[in-house]
Amino acid sequence: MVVRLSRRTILKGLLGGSLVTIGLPSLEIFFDRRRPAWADDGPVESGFPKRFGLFFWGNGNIPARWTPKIDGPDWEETEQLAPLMHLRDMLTIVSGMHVKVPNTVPHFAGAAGCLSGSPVMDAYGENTMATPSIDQVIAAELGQLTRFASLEFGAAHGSGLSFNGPSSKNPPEGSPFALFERVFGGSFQLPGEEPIVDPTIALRRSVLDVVGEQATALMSRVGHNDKVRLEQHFDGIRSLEQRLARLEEDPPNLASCALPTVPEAEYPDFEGRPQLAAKNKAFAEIAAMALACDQTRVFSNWFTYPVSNHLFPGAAQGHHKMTHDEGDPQPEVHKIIVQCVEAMAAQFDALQAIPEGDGTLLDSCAVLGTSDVSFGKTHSLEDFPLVIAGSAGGKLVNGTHYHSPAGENVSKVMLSLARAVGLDLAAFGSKTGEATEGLGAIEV
Amino acid sequence: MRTLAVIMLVAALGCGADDEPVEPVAPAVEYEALEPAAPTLIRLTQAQYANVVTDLLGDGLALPATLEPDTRAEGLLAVGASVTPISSRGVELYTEGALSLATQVMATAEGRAKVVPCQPSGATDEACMRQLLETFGRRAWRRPLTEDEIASFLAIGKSAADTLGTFDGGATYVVAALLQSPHFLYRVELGLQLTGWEVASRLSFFLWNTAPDEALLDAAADGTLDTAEGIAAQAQRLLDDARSRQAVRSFITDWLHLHELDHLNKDPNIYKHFTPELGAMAREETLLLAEHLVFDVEADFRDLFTTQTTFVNRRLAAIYNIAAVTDEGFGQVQLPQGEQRRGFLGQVAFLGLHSHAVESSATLRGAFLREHVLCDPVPPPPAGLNTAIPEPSETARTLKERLLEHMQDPSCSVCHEFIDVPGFGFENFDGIGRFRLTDHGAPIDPTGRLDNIDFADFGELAGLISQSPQLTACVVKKLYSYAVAHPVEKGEAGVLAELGDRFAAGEYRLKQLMLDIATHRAFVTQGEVQ
Repeated sequence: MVVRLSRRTILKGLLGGSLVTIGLPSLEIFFDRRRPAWADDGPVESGFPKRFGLFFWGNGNIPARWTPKIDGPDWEETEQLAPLMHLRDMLTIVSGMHVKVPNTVPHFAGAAGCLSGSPVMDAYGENTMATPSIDQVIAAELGQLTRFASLEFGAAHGSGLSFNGPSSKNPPEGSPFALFERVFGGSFQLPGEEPIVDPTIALRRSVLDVVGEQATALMSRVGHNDKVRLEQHFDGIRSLEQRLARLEEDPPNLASCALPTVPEAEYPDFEGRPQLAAKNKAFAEIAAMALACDQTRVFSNWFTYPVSNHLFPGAAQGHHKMTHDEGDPQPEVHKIIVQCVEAMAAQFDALQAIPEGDGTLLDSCAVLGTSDVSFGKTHSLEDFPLVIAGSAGGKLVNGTHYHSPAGENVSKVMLSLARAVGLDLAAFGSKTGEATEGLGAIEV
Repeated sequence: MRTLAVIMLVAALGCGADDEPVEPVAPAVEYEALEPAAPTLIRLTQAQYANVVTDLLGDGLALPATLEPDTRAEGLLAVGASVTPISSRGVELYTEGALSLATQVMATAEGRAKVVPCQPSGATDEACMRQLLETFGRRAWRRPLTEDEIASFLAIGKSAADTLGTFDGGATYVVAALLQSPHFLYRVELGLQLTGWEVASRLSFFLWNTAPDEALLDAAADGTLDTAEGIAAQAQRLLDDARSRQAVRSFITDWLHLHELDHLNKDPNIYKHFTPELGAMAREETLLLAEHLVFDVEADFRDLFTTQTTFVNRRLAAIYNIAAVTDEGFGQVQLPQGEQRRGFLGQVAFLGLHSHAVESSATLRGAFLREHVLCDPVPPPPAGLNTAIPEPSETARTLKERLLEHMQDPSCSVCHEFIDVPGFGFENFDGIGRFRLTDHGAPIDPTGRLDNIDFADFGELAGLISQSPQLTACVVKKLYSYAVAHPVEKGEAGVLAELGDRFAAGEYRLKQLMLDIATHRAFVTQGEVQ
């Protein structure tokens, strides 16, 4: 649930103790010199910013129990999409598309092929994406406008699959409380609050200036690879400078912005099973509010990973192991997939729960739910699982099922999503994974 | 352009600077000429960051709870540190961490004394701030700051002191700036021939897993480290210091992937001995054994795979079904003669980590053995293959019987022969590492084959592994990669061969191998910037 602005005083008392410190200066007065809503902040035709989200789970689905048989708006409920049915008007189910890169490394090739549109690359014995993942392609543009270029988080332990380029990952936050603190703790300002007046901000910026100069000076003395690494380091420094600068501006003025519920400090394993669902729900709500408060416009939720072998509640074997060992029709694997889809529904619900304008926050979003394979047992990259929630402010068709008759390239979907949130992108992916056209059937 | 390739003609023994009596001389061996790898920036690993910060600022400070994760390259986090770029999130964590640490250290008299070497005459005492930069700055950056660098930090100090009204306020921001600079976060090695300062860092990060102490920095300053003798003397000093134990722990952790034990997970309904702390305990067992072998008894390093000495606490003793020797903490034990269990591969740290949450896995264990213990790469399974292991049946009850059934498929058998057939030797240990004689009610057949040699049980397998030339070559390659912290290039093959010969001639003493690496010309030589 969400704590509304009117309850701020309660919250202040709640949080005022030693547990967390949230920057809540005296803000009884709302100032008029607020930044005009989205005057110069890019493509906001609907009046609200467009946002992109990714929900990822590992080890795929069971296509026979997932894919609806009926195309178009009358698609029927299936066993594995059942947890999403209450949102069906907000969804687009895309089936029959293929990941077109060579399936050289089971699981990872599919994740890389879907999310980056490129074949897997080997870097010193480790698998890496060769080109940025879709979230970072979009964050490179939308991320300029907000305090955080993107947020990465996930309930399962893992290092994420959000890539800036080869070997360069954006590590996900694994603790909902830490994510809450990062976005809403410290110097966060609610709409209408005065910009922070803190003399140390200028000092911190001057430190970043000096450190950034040192990084730049070093670039000219190192080899090519290190130069790329230092450029990324410098980008990190620069984005912190921008973040500090934003603190001195009026906070974004969005009526639906409020503080999310403070999550638990820890989610200990229960009977050897991680509390994935509870953690995911907390993450989902924080991420939704981070969008509502325009702290970021891009998130990726890494619920579980390719080859994740978590013990799910009720499961007698790790997920990945079971996908390979259980006989068809895989009743136990099915139950796990349903839990993954329930977690995806929780992410969508969190966005749908926040009113914005005449609709909800989800209206302005394009959130993609996907995995690393379709049928886990065979590592198949055909009939790939793709669920889209939200219309990106009316740019995407919702409430329908599109079945590709000819096994089209999944990268077409990525291109459509990127364009729907405002990117002027000519192509997505590379080599056999490249797409230069979107998927017309899901575009408005 | 200088040509760096030289032919090294050395005897297998006695190539060092020591004055040991000359051993019977082995025939001279010609090794491939060294073509040094190009320089790389090496980011401090998480463990190094913690060690360095603690050395600089004292213990008792709250270190950042999370930092940029370490990532592997060629199987090692130490090598990943010179390959992977840092994320924006990572920069944010370092930046916040630096200010938090600086604030904390300046908040106590004891901490402040570690940073501020003088009595400031006022808020903007520039001479005192300069002293801070010359002393604390040198330690933090592992080299003296240039005059330009000092000037930019003095400017930060002055504006912070002006804003905050105190010298300590200025010092806080100067320290925070030092600790978030690339010159702190990366080991910067630019020269073809490393400078004394760069050599000091290499030595201390390799042999102590932390930054140089004052004595080592002084040796850099006075030119001692410009000579082979000076390097050898300092390397020996570092190895004789107790801090070299943390380097061996770090290497063993990295090589054998013991970090992953943080996430060891077993179904507690099946494994009653499992608790969330078990992974860390299992790691400690392995590290205590490695320390014992390397430092206390200076054993043949291959004993790590055969010794029946180990270190257990009460929980591990229960898993091994032996009497606990201590009520609290770990104690040294000798496993009963006749027990199969021996060495690292008989420990929970290996057996439990390379198993599933509910059962053992000859495949995971065999694959780790191949890939990381013997440095014998395992290709990924073909995609699209049916990798299902048949369910237990009347004809195939044990995991081994089921895998053998699976291997009747010729497309599976190639890899599984390579991985599982050695892995069968571990089957007398269940998924958490308890000894067992049956699997699903059927007797376990622990026989198998490593390359072309049959073994009857785990004891024989451990013996074969310890005698395998692949094992010792792998140790040399891993330790060398760990030491130089870059992906090993073809041009370094001769160095590995030479180090391997010396390792054998010295009867496989790891400490000596560390010294041989640290004093090898390859350790202080780099190629051109590329």
